[in-house]
Amino acid sequence: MVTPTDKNRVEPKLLEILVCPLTKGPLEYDPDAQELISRAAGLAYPIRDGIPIMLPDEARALDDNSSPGSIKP
Amino acid sequence: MTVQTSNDPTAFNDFEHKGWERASGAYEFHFARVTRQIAPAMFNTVGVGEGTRVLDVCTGPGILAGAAVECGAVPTGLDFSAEFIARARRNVPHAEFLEGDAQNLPFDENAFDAVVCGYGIIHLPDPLRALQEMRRVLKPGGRVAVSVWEAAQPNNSFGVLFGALAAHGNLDVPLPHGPDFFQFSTQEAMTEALKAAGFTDVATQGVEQIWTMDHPSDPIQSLMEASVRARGLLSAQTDEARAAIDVAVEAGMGQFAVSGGGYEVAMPAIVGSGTK
Repeated sequence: MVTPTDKNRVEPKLLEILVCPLTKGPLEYDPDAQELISRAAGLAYPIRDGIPIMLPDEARALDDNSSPGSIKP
Repeated sequence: MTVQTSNDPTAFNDFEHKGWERASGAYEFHFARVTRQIAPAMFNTVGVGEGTRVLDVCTGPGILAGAAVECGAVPTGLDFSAEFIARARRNVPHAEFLEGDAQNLPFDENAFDAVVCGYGIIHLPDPLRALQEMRRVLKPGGRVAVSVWEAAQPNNSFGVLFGALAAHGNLDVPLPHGPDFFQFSTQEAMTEALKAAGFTDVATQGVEQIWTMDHPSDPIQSLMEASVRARGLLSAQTDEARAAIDVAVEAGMGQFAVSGGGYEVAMPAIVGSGTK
């Protein structure tokens, strides 16, 4: 259950079943950066306000440590 | 039957994405009162009840996810539109939502007891791939249910609209190529598509739904505000054609008038279901 106090936290049960949409491989959860990292795809998927954004176009390339790439307008 | 795909999936996906980011609020305002009517038929055929882990693909404003919560189920809603997901989250605070692509689901195989997709596959460049993805994330023995609008007929809303477009306008306008909007809109076509995706025990049914409206101009106004492809089609007509289409749609609305005022417009659906 999502309550107002933890609405920006991703449910552990959801994290258990999330995989990279491209490789279907595992994701590492980085709670500080609020990212889900797919080593196989070389992408970090952002979590914004507790919502995982599992779209490659919105992900940060891992070899690029600058700001997240291609944000859709 | 071969399930159609877009000839230009990136352009079509961008067209749909931009369109839904713009139209999410209007879609909820105009269409939610119709699209929520499909929930019982879909939930009965897949078995959504207390504790069911159900994935709602193309959740939009969270209509089916919300109905699933009311059944005691545990829904996860996915949509490619950030605007829709923000809306779904406000509408259904007791569900999990995420942004993602129906054709590349970010879930492990066998993750869900049931999968539903209400009026979603008709907006995708590669709907067969989406059906295959829904099957992948289902547990063995789990069922999927998908709904689409029934094929346009003279006595339903899409029939009135497309009848007017065909009679007075031009259906061949330059929009990003997408699969036929009605390719799953008969029980036979729906059955074939679900079998092509690997589902067994495929079942289909027609479901009557009513779109309540106040004015005969409401269908066109709703589609202009709250659709993507129909809006594209209507927007591409000449002013003269649009005027004639508007008149024809208002005339076609006469069959739906109810005594005491207002309209009960037929918006029938096809529900298809199958087992992994």
